[in-house]
Amino acid sequence: MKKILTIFWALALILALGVCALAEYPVTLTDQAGREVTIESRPEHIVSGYYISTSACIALGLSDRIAAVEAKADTRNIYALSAPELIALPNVGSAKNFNLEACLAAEPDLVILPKRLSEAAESISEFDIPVLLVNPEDDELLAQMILLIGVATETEDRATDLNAFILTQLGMCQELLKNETPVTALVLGNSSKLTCAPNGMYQSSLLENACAVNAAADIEGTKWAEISYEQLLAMNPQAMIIPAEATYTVEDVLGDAELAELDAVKNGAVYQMPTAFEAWDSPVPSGVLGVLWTAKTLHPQAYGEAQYKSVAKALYETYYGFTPDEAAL
Amino acid sequence: MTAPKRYNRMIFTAAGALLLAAFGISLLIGAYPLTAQDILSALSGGEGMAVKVFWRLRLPRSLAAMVSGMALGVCGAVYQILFANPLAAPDIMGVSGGATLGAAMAIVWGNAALSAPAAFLGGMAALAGSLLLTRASGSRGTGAMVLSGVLISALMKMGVMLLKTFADTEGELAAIEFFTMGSFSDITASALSALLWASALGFVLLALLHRQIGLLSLPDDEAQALGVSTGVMRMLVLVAATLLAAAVSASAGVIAFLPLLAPHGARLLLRGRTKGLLPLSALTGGVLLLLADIAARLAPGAELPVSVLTTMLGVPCVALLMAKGGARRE
Amino acid sequence: MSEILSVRGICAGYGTRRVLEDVCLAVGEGEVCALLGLNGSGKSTLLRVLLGLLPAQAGEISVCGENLRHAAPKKVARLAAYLPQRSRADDGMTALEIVLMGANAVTPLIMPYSAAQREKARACLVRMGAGEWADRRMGELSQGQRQSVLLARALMQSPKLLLLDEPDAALDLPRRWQMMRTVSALAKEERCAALCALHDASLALSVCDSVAVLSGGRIVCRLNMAHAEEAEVREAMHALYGDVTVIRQDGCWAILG
Repeated sequence: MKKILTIFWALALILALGVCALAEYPVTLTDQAGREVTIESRPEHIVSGYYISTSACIALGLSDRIAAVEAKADTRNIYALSAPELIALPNVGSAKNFNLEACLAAEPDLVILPKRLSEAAESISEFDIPVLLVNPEDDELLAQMILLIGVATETEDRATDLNAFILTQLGMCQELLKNETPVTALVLGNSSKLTCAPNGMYQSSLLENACAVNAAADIEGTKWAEISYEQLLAMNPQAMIIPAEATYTVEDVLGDAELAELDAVKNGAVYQMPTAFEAWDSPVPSGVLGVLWTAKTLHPQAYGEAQYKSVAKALYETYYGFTPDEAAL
Repeated sequence: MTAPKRYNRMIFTAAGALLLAAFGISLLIGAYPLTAQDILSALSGGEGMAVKVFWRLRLPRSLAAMVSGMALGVCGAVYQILFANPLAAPDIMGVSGGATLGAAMAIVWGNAALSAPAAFLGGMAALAGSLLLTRASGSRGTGAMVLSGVLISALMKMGVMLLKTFADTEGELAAIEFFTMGSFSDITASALSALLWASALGFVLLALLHRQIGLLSLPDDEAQALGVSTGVMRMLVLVAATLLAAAVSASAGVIAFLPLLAPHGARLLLRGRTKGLLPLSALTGGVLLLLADIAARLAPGAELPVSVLTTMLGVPCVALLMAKGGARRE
Repeated sequence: MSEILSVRGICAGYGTRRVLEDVCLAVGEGEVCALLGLNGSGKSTLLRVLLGLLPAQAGEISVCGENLRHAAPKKVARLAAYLPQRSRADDGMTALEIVLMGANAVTPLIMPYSAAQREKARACLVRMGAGEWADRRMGELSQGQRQSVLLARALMQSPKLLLLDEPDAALDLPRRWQMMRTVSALAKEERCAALCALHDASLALSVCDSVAVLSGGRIVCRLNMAHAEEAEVREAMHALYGDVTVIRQDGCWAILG
């Protein structure tokens, strides 16, 4: 609850500060790397080099103003579902292999990049093109990012709406789960079942919001932690969650002889997030659905399936322009 | 002019022309559409986005690829002459291992932006380690140097392995792997400037010590009997050559095979003669790396790491030259 | 005949193993002195010590009055030239390039060889009968031809002392004798001294001006071939090789086992 309040006040503050410079261009903003960026006019050719900001742009209704996107766009189901035209756009590479020339070839008037591409951002700035660096590492920063992009692209109303929607849903979920006993759970990694999200990662706060306790709470760190079979057996979580883009399946975990003694395996409490949409275990705008899905999976009595599906439907219909297949949810 | 001299002149002219042609082509290829018109406009002081892209991104990248190729070609040739072994390369002194360790340390413990100077220092440190170890052993010959290099190399690799276990699998590990594969995609004007200065220094030093390099290819006793202070001289030459390799790895990561392939190609072109090996290795190295970088830019989807291409292009080229040489002998 | 090489009380070895013990030797201008001894007696070691390739543990070495012990390589190279037992020259270098290396000691570090030095190198090759393959790669030359090139390089150094380490070992019979005769002529023409570690005792006794026998780490015997008595020679050869037959005919010597 305290967390929700903090987010609310943070939003209000940002709104208050931002509103002053709003509504007209040129607009000066501070991005999430602390850089002051001035945008002269309404951006019509946006380049987004990060799947999270691209998803945010779609949610803010900017898909027809996007000129180029990050690599591997064809592997993201959400683009196919809500903005298939993005898949055909030129790609500017990934965070580890960013293609400056391709980015410039798209003739952008706004570029959005993850914080770790700060060097590339400097290079692009030299061409007098505004670059926003984003760093959505938790709920607060995600909300900030959405608003930032909203203000930059003259869609701040929609941004505020989306943030409010997310906040409301989180609040409702907390309310419904307030009498529940927290479940110990573990979020496993994408490439190996022997990796998990430790305390400092976004996935840990996702569990908290869904009234669960991270079984890996005493592993410190903000990066995926490699664990051994023994550690896993010692942690013995009551439930295990496999992210949407994992390279292995629930069957792989259930069928692993070494893990047969785990409570989660014995009770069949190994679940994979819906794979048809986005990586809900990461701070994408629709990441709130990850919380809600986890809530309904771990606490089915308190947070119902129907409730979760209706929120998912509302979010995707309103902000992404498509109706999600109920069976895939 | 004697027949060998005439032949050499022809080979050098052809190689030089090929280098310029490859450079010219590389200026026209890239993700941003630049036409010959744009380039001419840029050269005559024009304005506009295309011009800016040319000066800030395209030209630095092509120059970096060309100079790096020349640097690695010369470096490889010097190592091969010094160790009197056609398989010698800066790798045997642990230079690429050291550069990787430096870069890995910057990526995992510090700021990824520091990986360039860290890689340079790492490469030179590996050489220093090998030379110190050789000195400690008391032996003067190249045999002891190779052994020291093997040990230092193993140490560097162990360090990288350790760092990889601490690295974040999603971001940092990928960055380290990427370094070991080499790429010119993030060359900017400032990185180029450092590369040019370091390469120029290396080239000048080696040119001055040109005569000594030939002398050092003799067995230690013979060289010393001819008046060469072999210990000091070998160290100086190695430092100059390694400067080139370290500077390249600082700007583009580890580029496989080039220090080995370029001199071999040059040797085959020179029909086995040593005269002119160093400059011709520079030319073959420059051509090879430019072509590899062009191919890297043309790859559909994501750019390919340049080491894949240097090997893919270089091996058939040298194989072809070997076959031709063999056929002629028969 | 003035003295060129003076060696006094040289002791040297490898680690704790002493190979040379109080070696004393003098070789004069134009003199070719052969160094004879069994395998492992220290012939190569002595040559290496004289060149500074192996530090002496005691004693003095001087060439034309210049102290060679502890001298820098450049100084040594200006006075003495070395023909090693096994040379591994870069196959890709031409004979001329190899010979030019002889001028290294007198050329400043970063300067290239001058045209005059190139001319001299060619002249040295011609004198050694190798003039026509000056521009051929060493890899194309036969063992004997390569030996001539190395001699030409030694000549290029304009040395006062020539040190040859078993130059006869890899050559066939006629070339062996031809080579030693060339060395002898060279020593006289250039007015330098030559010290040759030799394998073949017959060759040593027949062609060289003097023979020094190295045994037990010392020079145990010095034969002046111009004045040596047959008995003296026989005694020396018996002491060195045991029961051998020593024959003298037509001014040449033959040792038969």
